[in-house]
Amino acid sequence: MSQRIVIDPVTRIEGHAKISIQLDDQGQVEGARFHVTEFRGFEKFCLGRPFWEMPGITARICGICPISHILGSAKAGDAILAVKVSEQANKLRRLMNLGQYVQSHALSFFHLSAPDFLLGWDSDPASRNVFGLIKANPDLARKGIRLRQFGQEIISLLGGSKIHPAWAVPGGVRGPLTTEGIDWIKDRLPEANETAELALTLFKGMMGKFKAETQIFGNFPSLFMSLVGPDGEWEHHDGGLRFVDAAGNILADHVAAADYQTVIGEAVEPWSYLKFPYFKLMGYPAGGYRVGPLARLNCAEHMQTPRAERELQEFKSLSSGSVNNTFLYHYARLVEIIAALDAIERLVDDPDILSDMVRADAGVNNLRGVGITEAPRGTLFHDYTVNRDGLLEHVNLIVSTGQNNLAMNRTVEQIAKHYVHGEKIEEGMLNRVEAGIRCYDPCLSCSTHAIGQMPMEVSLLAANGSVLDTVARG
Amino acid sequence: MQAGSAAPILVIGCGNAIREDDAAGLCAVEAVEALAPAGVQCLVRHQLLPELAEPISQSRAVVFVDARADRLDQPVIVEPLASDPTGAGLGHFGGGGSLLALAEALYGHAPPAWLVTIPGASFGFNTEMTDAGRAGVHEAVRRTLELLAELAAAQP
Repeated sequence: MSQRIVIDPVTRIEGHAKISIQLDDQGQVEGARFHVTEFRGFEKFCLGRPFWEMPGITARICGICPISHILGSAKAGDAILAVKVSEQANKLRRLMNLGQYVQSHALSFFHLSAPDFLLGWDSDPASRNVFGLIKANPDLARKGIRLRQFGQEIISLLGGSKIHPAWAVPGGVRGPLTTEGIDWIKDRLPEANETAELALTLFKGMMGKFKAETQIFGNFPSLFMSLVGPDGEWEHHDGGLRFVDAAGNILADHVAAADYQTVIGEAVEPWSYLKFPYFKLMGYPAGGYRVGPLARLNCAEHMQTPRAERELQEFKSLSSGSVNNTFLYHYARLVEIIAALDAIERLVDDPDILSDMVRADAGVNNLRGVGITEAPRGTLFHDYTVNRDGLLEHVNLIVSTGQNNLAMNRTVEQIAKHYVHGEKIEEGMLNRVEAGIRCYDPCLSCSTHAIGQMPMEVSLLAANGSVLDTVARG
Repeated sequence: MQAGSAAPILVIGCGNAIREDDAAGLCAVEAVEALAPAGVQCLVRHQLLPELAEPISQSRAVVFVDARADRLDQPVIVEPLASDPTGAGLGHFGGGGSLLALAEALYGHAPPAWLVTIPGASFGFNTEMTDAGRAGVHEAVRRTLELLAELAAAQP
């Protein structure tokens, strides 16, 4: 008799999801699904609105990475206006995105994943949280909070608020950085650098301890996609799309934003509100790919600064091709903090970021515009079609969590196959399944950032739907 | 470690300006800032984030002002707020009690704290508050200023 384990809800604030694990007649894991059961509807209710409003509207998709939507939307607006934003404006946009990388990656590592790393997946859930981390390593916890604050403050200095700054607009940005803002960033950079290097050294030192997780938490061959610069360098805002395979071979390169549908298709499944993007040349589901920090490092050939370049090459030395271990998203995230801090250091020495020539004025000159940016958790697409008055007639958003959807399913399945045996559900297994999702730091991450108190119910169901076993917590 | 008598009293307003009465905490604290006695520092935030633990630890008292969606039949409530060291609700953002515990754990000091809650009638998508929400803001401003006056008078 086949059985099914359901983890529902895997949710807290930002999203609602559940995980079901299908057992076969022998009680062994046959498959797993990560379901997203929440419908947002932004692509529909934005229709009829002026495209000018979209940065402000789509920023509300997420309270954690609104900057990505603001920037992606503004870039789509640039294309509709048919303007090339000034170098000054583009540098300012890049600076804000880098601030977001620092705050988002710091949150993921220090607040949400470090308790697992330092206290262990089998430790008491009641203490496996930030307070447990403080007991274990108060200095690290304090530094982590200040590193995140550093990134948040850069966003606030540019946009006037930390969460939803209506600052990037079609045609550019609303204003430059101030000299006081530059001074503040320069003053805090050394501390931020020290913390980032501390975290990276700490993680590298713990790699030996995580051999099992590295092999089991989503270790499988797949494609990877990200933006890269003209010379194949790491890129977070400009450039074109690159696909590489598990062996590191480039399958598509420098694909322009407007041409993304020549390489990306979108499938749907009846059991999830998330779409399933795939690489068209390989079809669905074989063309499933991963995005985010791991993908960006796999796609990039080099970094722009010596320190970041050293870290990238050390990371790449872990594999002769692409690094396929999902668990190493955490490592990639830390390398990206280093790269972001180096880029911030360069930008705050650039006089362009004080310029007030930051916005181009124009009307509707194209009826379609596509904007792509690299959110901390992966590539983000905003694709708008408007009428001659600039009112939206079609909206397509492809978010990072959707692009990692197939990989998240495979990750859950791989972990479940290793840790689930028979009808008994162990706490440590649940933590590891969630930790596998957490590697991707998905937009549903509030749900999966279990800090020991997440309301969760796991049911073991027989084929006829009767409950054989239930584990609840929170 | 105690914050000294020169340390400020911190007032933190929290809420979402595009969710009708959820903006009540923000509006109230913006008004309090214009009327507050010397030595009061006001912050308005969309969410209560972990980095607030540091300024909280450097304060001699902290007052959180927020809208609430339950106990709608009751007026503005001013009540002491206890530290919550369980870690519950501290991920991407946290509650005031969690931040007090974080301030104590990270910086060695959690000041006495109060929570001012304003009943909200509606939390839909709108930048306008309801009449009930606006009335709650007026009452919350009055009660918060009273509390601040008491705290200032009690200064050693």
